[in-house]
Amino acid sequence: MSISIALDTSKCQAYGLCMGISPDVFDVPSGSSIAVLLRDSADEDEREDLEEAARSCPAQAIVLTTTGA
Amino acid sequence: MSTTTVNTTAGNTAATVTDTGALTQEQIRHLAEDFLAREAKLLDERRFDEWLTMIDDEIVYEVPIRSARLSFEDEVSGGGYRIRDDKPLLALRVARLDSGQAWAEVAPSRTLRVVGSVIVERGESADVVNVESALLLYRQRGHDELGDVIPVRRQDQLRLTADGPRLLRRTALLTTAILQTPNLGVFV
Amino acid sequence: MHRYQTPSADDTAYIDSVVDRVEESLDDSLLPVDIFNDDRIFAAEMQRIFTKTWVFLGHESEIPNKGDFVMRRIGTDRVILSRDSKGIIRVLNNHCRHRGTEVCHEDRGNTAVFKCPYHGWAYKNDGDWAGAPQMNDAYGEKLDPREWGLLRAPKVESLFGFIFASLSEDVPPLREYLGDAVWAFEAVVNLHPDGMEVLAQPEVFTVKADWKNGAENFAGDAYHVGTTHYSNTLSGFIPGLNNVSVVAHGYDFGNGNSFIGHSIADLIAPQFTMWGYPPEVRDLFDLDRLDDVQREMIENRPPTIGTFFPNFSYLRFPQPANPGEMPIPFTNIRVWQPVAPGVMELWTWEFEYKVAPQAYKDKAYLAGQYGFGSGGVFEQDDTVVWEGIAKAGRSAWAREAGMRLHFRQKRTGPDPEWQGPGKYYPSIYGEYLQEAFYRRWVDAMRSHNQTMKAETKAADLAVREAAVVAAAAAAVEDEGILTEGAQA
Repeated sequence: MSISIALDTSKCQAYGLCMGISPDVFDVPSGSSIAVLLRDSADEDEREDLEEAARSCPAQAIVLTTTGA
Repeated sequence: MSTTTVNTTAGNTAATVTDTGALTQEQIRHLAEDFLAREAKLLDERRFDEWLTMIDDEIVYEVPIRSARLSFEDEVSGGGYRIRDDKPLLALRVARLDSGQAWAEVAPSRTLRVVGSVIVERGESADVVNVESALLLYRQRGHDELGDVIPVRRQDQLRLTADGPRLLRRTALLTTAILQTPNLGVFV
Repeated sequence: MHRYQTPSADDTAYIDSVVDRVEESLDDSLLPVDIFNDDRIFAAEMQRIFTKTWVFLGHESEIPNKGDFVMRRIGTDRVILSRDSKGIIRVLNNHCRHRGTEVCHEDRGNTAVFKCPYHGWAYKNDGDWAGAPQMNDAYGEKLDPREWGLLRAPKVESLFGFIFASLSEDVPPLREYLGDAVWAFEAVVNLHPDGMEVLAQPEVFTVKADWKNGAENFAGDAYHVGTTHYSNTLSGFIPGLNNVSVVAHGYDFGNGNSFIGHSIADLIAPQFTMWGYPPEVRDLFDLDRLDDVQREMIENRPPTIGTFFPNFSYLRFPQPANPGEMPIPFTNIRVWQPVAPGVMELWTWEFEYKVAPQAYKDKAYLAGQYGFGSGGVFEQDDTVVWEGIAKAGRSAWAREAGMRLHFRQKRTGPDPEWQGPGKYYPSIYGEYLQEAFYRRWVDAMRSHNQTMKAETKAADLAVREAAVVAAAAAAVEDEGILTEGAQA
């Protein structure tokens, strides 16, 4: 099982909380008005941090899906 | 199919129907609207004992607690209610009012109930009808009060009987989360 | 809408003079009516009492999960009562630090983040500032999370799951503050290790009476039951309400905290010891947790009604859930929530022991609501008889005449043989508990003698500390000398 990560760029507002929680997955480059994904999949052991990032996003812009391994 | 005899008009001429299942939508609607209007009149005139005769013995009369929530379905979740009366508890309220020492209603509130937006649908059994209505209850308490408006959406079930419809179930959804009238000393 | 003035510095003299007049009157067992409907007194109460004492907000069982929150009040402010993502209970001011917009809009829910609808400032559920839109471009760097977080009540404690908060640092711990009242309260709500829980969300209704009338009534007024509530005997519901005060006693724990006790077994029937709990609940209690005096008290003359100053009250009394059934005790907790002079919201919760059977909980909820909800056959009459006092409080005639209320019932004094803490009075007559409530009110209204400046209003220590340090640094720079503040 792995986790597929998606960013809804129409909702993202570059708060940057995601970057603070999972800095190797999310980044907000300077000058950018939205966050970017550094990668779009993760292992199960990263689930807790990713779910916290998704829950904490004030714009509710992070979508996590579980995919078969 | 039920074979209860039902009066389809509450006016001077009664046309009885022996089979509630054979009532048309039009006739059911008429029965329900007439019931609600007459109920409102009895309550506004404080004819509580007569009103109790319109209440089915198996009544469940509930006023749920409503909260400010983002979604409508969540507004009455949580199971709390302000009032949940069966027939004996309703009758006890009336007995308390009749005592003359129910100070909250001495002098009794003067009320006007405007009932509208009536939706009538057949229920699960032939003698039960689901009725939804909106109520604006204007209430002036005591002797020197500004009046309160109490808005309520009711979801009722009426049981059609030979003696007329009876209120079998009422869920009275107040519009307000924080009640803006000092008490529910009037029937909604 | 309700409107009232906020006091100015000139009003302080007026307010203090009213408080002095109240104290003088209490020395004669009298009470001026003015305090029940006065804009300046009300505003002073909100500031001098409600920002300075422990105030009840809710029960832990209402916010069981991380992220849960409910909206409550302290004084007239709406506040967020939340359980943060680490499980810690927080009490947060509901105004964004950017431009003051409210950030929480629901009566209850669950969230990791509160987001302001104006510019999008976001706060974690512990109140810390979490971010803002386009943060890098708009702000360059993160703001200090606590300095710019939602104002947080500096003290939050719970007692048997009942959550209290203080907006002031300068209060003793909750148990110490409540003093001997904890001893009695423990014997009410802590008879089982799993404690009590709310049965549903609170009911709230707006009543045209002053908050103090409810608190005073529950502090010691058993005398009113036979008159205010007599309709319930005339209806056939509960016989002998006119006899209830005969078996009522007083427990005074000081500081405006008191209980009424009733020898219920003498009133209803011999098996109605311990509030009349039926065996299926009573057998679950663990009475070894109590001392001998507590055990005897709850067996024979249990505390049935009580008030913790300023506005938290409790009620447990047996009542039939349906006419003709055996009376069973319900447990009702309420807050007399000030809204405006002469107006309050009555917040009422039903509680039961967690381990009690569900069928019992359902009946206890029904009994409590039928008696004491907004449609309560007892409650309706209570709140209505208090309306007159609110009107008298604002009456030109009453003020010109210096009208004062009568607290001079015959007093027979406390029992010298009482083995428990505080004082026990065999007779409830005397209005001594109500007078003690107002004495406490006098003390609380003298709690501060100057208006606070805006900068020091923050309930958050970090902000105040930072201001002190910055001011000291500026003073050193300006005058090249060390000021007192620099030593902080």
